[in-house]
Amino acid sequence: MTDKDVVIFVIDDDASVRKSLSVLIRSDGYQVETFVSAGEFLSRAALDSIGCIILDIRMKGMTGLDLQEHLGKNDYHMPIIFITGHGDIPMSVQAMKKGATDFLTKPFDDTQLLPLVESAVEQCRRKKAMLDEASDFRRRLKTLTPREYEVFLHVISGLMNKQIAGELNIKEHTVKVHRGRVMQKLGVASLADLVRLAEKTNISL
Amino acid sequence: MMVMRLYSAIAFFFLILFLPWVSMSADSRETKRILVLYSLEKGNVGQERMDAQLQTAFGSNKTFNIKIYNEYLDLVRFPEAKQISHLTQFLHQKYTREKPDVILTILPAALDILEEHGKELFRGIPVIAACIPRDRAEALKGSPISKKATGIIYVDNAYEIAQSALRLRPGTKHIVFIAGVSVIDRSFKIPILREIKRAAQGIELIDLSGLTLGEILSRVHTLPPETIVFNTSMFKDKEGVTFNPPDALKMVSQASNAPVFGFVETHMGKGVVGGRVASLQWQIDKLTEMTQRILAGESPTAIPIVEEAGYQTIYDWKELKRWSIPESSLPKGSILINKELNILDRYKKYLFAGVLFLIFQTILIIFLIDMNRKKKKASAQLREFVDRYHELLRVDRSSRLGELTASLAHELNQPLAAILSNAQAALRFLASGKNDPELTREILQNIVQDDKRAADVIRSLRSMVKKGEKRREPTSINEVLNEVIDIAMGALIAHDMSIETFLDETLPLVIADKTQIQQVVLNLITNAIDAMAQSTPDKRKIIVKTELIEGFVRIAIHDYGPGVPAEQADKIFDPFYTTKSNGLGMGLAVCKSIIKDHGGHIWFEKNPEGGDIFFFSLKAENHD
Repeated sequence: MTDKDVVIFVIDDDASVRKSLSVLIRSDGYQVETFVSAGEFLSRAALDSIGCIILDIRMKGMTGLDLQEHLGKNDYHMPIIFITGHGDIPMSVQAMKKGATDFLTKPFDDTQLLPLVESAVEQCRRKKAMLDEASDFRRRLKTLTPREYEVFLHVISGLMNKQIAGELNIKEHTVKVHRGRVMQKLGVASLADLVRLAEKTNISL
Repeated sequence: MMVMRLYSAIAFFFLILFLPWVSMSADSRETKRILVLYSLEKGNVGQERMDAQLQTAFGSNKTFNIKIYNEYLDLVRFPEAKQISHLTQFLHQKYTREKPDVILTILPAALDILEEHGKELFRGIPVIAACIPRDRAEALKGSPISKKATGIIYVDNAYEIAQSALRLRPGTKHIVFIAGVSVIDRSFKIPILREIKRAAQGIELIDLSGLTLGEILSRVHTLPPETIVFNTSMFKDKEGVTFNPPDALKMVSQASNAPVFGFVETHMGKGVVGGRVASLQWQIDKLTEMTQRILAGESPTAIPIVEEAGYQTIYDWKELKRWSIPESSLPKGSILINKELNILDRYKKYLFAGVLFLIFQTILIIFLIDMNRKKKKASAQLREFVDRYHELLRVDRSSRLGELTASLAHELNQPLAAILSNAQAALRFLASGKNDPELTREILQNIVQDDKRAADVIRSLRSMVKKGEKRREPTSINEVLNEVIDIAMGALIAHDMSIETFLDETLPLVIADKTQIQQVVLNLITNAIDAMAQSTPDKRKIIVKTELIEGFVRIAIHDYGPGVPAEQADKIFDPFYTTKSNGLGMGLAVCKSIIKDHGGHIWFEKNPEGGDIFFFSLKAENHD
């Protein structure tokens, strides 16, 4: 469960909340970093870490919702768990609509928070892995020659080697060689993987 | 022993009895004796008045020690010569040793005796004859005692009385005349009858004088209409029955069916209508005067016989009513006697005073009741006001409390949530078997801080809603400031700040809860310190000023910090509003609550030299 690379970011303008969340989450083996404001978080935090953000929905200056919006726009991957007081239901609903992982109403139990943190971290990890695979795939795609890229596009669109050869007006054997090189360069073992990754990176014809 | 005592008691009694006489004998004044010979028996009203008057006039004479001897000769009832002879002998013997210096005779009968027996009786002693009829004056002048006598004529005024009677009873056709048959009766009757005849010429005159009183009474009972009755005196009637004339007159008047008129003052009130009658008092005064002159040594012959009289116009109100004579027809200045006042008239003064008193009392009672009512009402109102005031204060604070509840919940929730998380973290560490003292300390410190924070919230809340007895006492604001500055001095030094005070030493006291005002001042100074935490060294000072402005003691605390931003100016006194990272936002709210509760004001202004000036003002004692 513990993972040295996982960091939980706690953003709250209330020192008590920061400190208490810090020790509680640390008791579960995570690293915790606390921030007094959204601004501080944005300027200081390693935004591509694996972990999650625990965010006070009500803060002076940039609010939790503002931060959520900002992070969403910039494609950051860390899930956000909002913590709210009573009477913040409308804000919580808004937060959920924008994709918040969850929200907790103070005071909350460790048994409520920690599973949320754990699943958020897991989610983050998956998302991160996914994102990593996609970006790797994109990077690999760039190593393809134009002819290889052409073949790749035809392969993922479901054409047979013979059909591709006909389309590209080259020999079937040549298509096979290119196809092998594409598979090799993109690091995929099967056509299915290739298609899945292509879909994930939003490559379409 | 007992007998001896009895004797001495008796002796003592006699000593006391004679004490006045003993003292009188020591008198150095010359003794003068007045012998008064009353013609009638004792008890006659006129004689009694005369005696009383003489006693008064001569009782305390400065020149002489005057002794008055009264003899009631009773000559109407005992007119016989033999009786008179005995009487004169008796008088002669009685007054041989103690000779009178002057003899007064009252009414003509006594004078008659003196005239008849003057040679042997009281020879040479001056005589003053009082109450004698007109005709007797001439007789006196020719009598044997004329050389030593003078007198006062009773001038009867009969003519005028008759005229006025006829005026009151216009159309009178008959006049009835009544008198007794004694010497005195006759001596007065004759001149009076003469005068009446003169006044009532042409009117029938019926003289009933010769009849018995019984006959007279039956006659006057059935008099013809338009009759009036004149009555002089009746000492004795035809049958020799004697009367006290006023009593006889009263009977006549009661029996009469016509108005009765008389001539003597002493007859007034006995049933006569009235008129201008000779005054007895005038006679008595004259007699007293003449007596004094003779006692002083004047010769009686040097004092002329008085032939005049004082008169008083007197009418009997009852008789006027009885005969329906209107008061308006009476001469001006008439004295009305027997006026039967109706209750209202009789007790007019008392009634008036009583009514006045009653009105006054009623007004007073109404006033008092009203005052009492007003007082009750006022005190009830006051009570109500006080209750309402307290209620308002409470409601005000409670409603403010209501407004705060949301933020309060949040404020309490924060440390409570934090404590929960800390505690659960600690439990998890324990469960995992990790023993990290540093971590444990951290957790426990967090819990302590959170707990304190929660307590702060509760405390400040309580200070806002507290409704206990207020302590209010005359408080010196300067003293409060100095004490608080002493307390804050440590913090000021730690923050490298200075404080300057400009305190008005002549400041009046304010009525306040000293502790609460201390709290206000401490909060303001603490705020000032916090405000200047980031200031440059030359802008790290607080100035405290006090002054009296229009009956209010005003306290100003200047700081040189960044100042409250304009957009926050209207919020800084709100509860839980704070610009500090570590503040609860209750400081100024509590200050405002306290100052408002004291009837004062709290506000802030921009300090022209930078920073803010926080003011609060409290009403000076005894200033309205």
